[in-house]
Amino acid sequence: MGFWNTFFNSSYMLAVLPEIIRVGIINTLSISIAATILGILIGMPMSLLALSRMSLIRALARAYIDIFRGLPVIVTIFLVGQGLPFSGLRVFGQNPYPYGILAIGIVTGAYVAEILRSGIQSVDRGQFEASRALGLSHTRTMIQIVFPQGLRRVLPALTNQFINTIKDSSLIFVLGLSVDQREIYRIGQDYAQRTGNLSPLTMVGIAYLTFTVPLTYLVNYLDRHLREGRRPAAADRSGEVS
Amino acid sequence: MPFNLSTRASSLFAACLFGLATAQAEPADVELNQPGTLSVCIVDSNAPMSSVVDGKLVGYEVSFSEEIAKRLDLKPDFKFTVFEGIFAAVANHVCDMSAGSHSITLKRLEIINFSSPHFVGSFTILSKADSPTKTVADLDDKRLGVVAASIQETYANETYKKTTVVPFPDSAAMQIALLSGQIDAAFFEGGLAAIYMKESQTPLQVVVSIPNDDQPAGLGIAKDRPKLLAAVNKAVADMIADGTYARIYKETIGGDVPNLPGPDFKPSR
Amino acid sequence: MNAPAISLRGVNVAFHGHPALCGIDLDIASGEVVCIIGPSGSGKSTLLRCLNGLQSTDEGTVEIVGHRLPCPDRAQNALRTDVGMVFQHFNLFPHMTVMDNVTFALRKVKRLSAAEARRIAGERLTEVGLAAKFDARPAWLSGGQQQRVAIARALAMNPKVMLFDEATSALDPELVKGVLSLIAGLAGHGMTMVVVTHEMGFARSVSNRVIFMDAGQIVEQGPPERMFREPATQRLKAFLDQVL
Repeated sequence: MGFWNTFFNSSYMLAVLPEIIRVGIINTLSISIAATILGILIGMPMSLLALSRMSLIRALARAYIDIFRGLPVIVTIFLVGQGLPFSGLRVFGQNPYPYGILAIGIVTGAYVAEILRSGIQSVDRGQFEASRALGLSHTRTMIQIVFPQGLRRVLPALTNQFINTIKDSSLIFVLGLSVDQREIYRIGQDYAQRTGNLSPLTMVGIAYLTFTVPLTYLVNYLDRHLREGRRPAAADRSGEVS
Repeated sequence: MPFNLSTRASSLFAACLFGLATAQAEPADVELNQPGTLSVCIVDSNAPMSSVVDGKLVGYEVSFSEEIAKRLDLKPDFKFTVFEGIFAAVANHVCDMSAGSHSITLKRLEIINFSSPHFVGSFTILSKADSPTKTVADLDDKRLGVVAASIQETYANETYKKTTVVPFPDSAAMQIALLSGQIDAAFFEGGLAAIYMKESQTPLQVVVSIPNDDQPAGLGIAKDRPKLLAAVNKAVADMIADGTYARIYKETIGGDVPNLPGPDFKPSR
Repeated sequence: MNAPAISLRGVNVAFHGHPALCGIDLDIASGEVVCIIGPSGSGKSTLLRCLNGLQSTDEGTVEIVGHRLPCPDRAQNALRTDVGMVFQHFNLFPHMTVMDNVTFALRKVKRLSAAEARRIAGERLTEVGLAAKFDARPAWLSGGQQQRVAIARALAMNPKVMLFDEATSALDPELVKGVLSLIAGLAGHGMTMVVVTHEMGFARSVSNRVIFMDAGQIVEQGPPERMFREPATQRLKAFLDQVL
């Protein structure tokens, strides 16, 4: 069989590439981006609720976070994607996509909430106190002073989460995708099982890496830029007198 | 008197020789991952072929493979595989043999070898009893579930051009999707469909049942293992000849035992 | 006689059962500059933070320029527009420019227009000598400059009382003097101030009254000259021997 032929057979890799580009990438990206947006919309308020001064609200937020981080993503996809229609709540008709996005979005929301919560708690308490000492309300202080700083701190962890979400999108196939709905992994897997050769999956891996790796570098760049802003010329900083 | 005695003696002697011959172990040099063990890839949730009942692995493929292993003087070791991965698993020596009740097709022969046919069945499309999808004509513009990489998938894509074919990783996921209404009909193996019809709490109906005589199933063996293939083929032939095949069929599936095509079977598609 | 600007009665604060303030009674008159000195853990900062509600009291009341504590969280916002605070570690908002730091509360709490807020902020920043730094980020400034911004930020709200919590303790020695003279200037203008500090020279020369605290209690208080030259209690004597 040969290691090289099994994983890097170029003719199989090239054969799968057109479909990956034409169908797979757009499906994978649309699932991932939609689920990430949903995850952020859920996670941001959830992180603040997890820090609420009211213990009941805190407990409910905590429960959400613990449950959806604790369940394997594939289980959540099944529960949402099959469970909702089964119980009569066929909110998205027969199309598996929205259910899958909803499920992955719910899971992403739990992780984002936890990441943001820890980011918020890592912000120096002095920031909170200085803001309150100026007369700003608790809510405004959290939203405009503490949260933005907490967010910046956890940008690397959030990118990590986006990468996980991209990878989780490959699980949506358990809900049953039609030919044009296939995301990258599914396309590769179809080729692999038809040929008995794993090279199409190597191509799938390369396709995923072309998103995830630049993403990491982009966020690092943004993070540095946000933290430091436009640096002044060196001359400006000299001659300090207290 | 002496004539009768010697006839008796010689028939006794012949019987002993015959017994010795059949009890003789198969050649020990078949290609295996691990000497003494026959690892077999099977599919889960595929009653009556292979499924777990009360914690035990049972089914036609299970019993058949156990018998083959016995005749080769090997210990069977079963591994679950997703159906669509089963051919690659055999080709890459993840297991020695696959018993996923998979038909012998030209495309699959490009990847692995098959034993002579050991099973012939049918496939059946089911829908919910209260569904408007009652006949093949009703399948237009509907969603039909299939197990990914199965011949049902190939058949559906070729035959039902106006239907959206939706592949699933296994029959269980497909069954849930049928019951929850996410698909309008589902393409099952004949035996499994019969079981679902009988046991499903939600009433089901048969849309169509298609016999599969020209696409019998065989056991999958890697192309670079000719000795194993030869040994398995001999075991299959023996099992058909001495009635073991029929016995296993009746025990696990029941009903009339179909005739199997011979070892010279060549698929047409 | 005018009512005191600040009045504490029977204030007790304990952290996890450990007492931090014990039965504090204190009056501070309008325009008075009070310095609180004492060893670490004596409760100086805790007392200061009770004055603007950042520290809640277990028992007792605080009356400060017409506001009364304890009171609900919402009401505390109003109190804090009349009471400004400067922290040891400056606590400037790092994700905003200097100008935005100072205008933020003016716009969000006092609901001033952006232009009006900018005008006031500009004046305060110029007064502390940072006219050239409006668009700078806090991270680009020295500690002394950051503390000046913090002072300008607090003063921009036009408070009736200013609280200083060890405002120079985190500064490099050569920067301390500049900030101290800024604070001294405020005192000269009649601002009611409560200053927790380790800078004995400052306490001696600028304050109207010095309060010495130890172990959660006010041990001794009086005019600075008397406190430093003739400490009445053994504990104050010992403390001054150590720090002077």
